[in-house]
Amino acid sequence: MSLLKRIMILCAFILAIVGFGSVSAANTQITAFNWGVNKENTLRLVFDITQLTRAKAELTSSMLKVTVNGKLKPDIQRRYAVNSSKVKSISLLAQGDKTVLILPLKQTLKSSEYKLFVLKKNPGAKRPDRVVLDIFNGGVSADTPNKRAGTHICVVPTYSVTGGIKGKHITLDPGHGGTDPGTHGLITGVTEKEITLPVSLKLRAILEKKGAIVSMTRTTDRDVWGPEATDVQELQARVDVAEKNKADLFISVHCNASVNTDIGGFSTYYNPKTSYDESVAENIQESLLKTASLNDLGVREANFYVNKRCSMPGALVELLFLTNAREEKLLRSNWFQNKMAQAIADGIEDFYKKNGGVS
Amino acid sequence: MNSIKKLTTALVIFCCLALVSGCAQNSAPNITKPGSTATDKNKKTQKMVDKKVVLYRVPTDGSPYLLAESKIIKVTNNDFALATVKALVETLPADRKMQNVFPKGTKVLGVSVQDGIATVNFSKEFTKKTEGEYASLMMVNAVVNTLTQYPEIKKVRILAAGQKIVVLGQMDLEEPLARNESFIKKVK
Ligand SMILES: [Zn+2]
Repeated sequence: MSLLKRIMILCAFILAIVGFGSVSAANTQITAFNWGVNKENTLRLVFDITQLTRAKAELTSSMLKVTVNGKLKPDIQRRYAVNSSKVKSISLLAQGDKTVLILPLKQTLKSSEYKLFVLKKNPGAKRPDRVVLDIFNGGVSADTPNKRAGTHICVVPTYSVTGGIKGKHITLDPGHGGTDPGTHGLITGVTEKEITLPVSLKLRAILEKKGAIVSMTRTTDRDVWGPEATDVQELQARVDVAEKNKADLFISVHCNASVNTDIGGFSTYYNPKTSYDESVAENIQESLLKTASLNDLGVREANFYVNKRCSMPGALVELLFLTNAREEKLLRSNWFQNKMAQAIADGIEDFYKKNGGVS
Repeated sequence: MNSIKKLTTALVIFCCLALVSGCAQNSAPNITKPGSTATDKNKKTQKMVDKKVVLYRVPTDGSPYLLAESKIIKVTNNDFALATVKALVETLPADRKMQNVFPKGTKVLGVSVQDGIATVNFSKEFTKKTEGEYASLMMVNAVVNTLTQYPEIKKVRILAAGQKIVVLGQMDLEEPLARNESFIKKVK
């Protein structure tokens, strides 16, 4: 009975192991991760590794999991959206000296429909050692292969955090707009969208002066997707602006509100989908607190849609409380809007300065 | 390398055979089946016990940190998660420093726990629009932090009227959410 049980547990997943066992995982680094669909409609995922190592694939009915014995470089993006008939998404997890690739499946995958293998380095083509996972017919569909890619990998453009603020592509998202006013002030009735837009426009000017290339989800009082949009469409439209502009950073600007009119202060939210989001939020919050004697409500993790779905690092800033009389006055004033914009820009610059040494 | 290849091939063939023979369907006897969904109906057949639980409540003063309320509720072995969320959503806190911010009429239709993920099904009132980000942010974190006090619950998925909620306010609820300690007031 116990033997039978063991066999049954064993065959709950299909296991495939490739690679070279003699090399210890501790010394191996994963220096890059790329994926793409080739003209045969194979979804190919590639780990660049510093030396040959071991990898194993485990297949269950709902997931394909690949463990590579190599340490994941911290600046490699961890989550990717993918348009695939087989795979829902692509995620990487760093587990000590190992890296786990998780592919939730849209449909059951047969063991013959994927292949895990190692490619030795090719100095002529300037290719390092690689661990490769092929998922056959893993593209959008069999008759629309990705024409851009030949037999080689198409590299997914990723953000940059090094080299300072100069030349960085930054997308600014003035919260709400058009049919969605957001929250409002209790004394003047000023709406959130009437504050987030001028602050973001001022912020754009300052960032451009610092050498950044700025794009905006909106520059006027309008809905980004359109007045009839669902909540998802409206927020996704803002994410799309950042992705289309290949942004290195995404900053959403909001104002807070509370049932208690005494509550006030700055808070900056982030979603830890890259290893940089928390640091972006921390630098902005720290800088905002220098503007005046205002409450520090902290740097906090949240699952805000725009932060979670953007592939690049970013933050959502809650600038003071419109429901607090003193803060409503500050939010409406031109000089304090300038001050907050300057503070956010300085915080962003600080973030890039601190990441200057890492390549 | 050749021997590894052979081994891999052998393993794959073995597993394929095993799959064909159908043992895969029975291979995970420990996984809770979806049938473990707790509803009011099967309560009567189970023994009721008192359980001390923590309910994370939204503060009355509007500050952005949840407050912990200790409460003793009646539960059965099967429905502790359902009973806990019901206590959070459908009762008022004893302490005046705390309030219930769930939209009026919100009911808990069911809670199921599977593979470490609790799925909470609220009535449609749950998605009622609120002004600003505060209320929805606090409400969702209250549910997630309250349920993840149980070691068997790692993440929480929130549904309304059985339907997936992708966006609530500014939040992304499509994937199950993990505990967020940054929303809990630290008691010194
Ligand atoms: Zn807002």
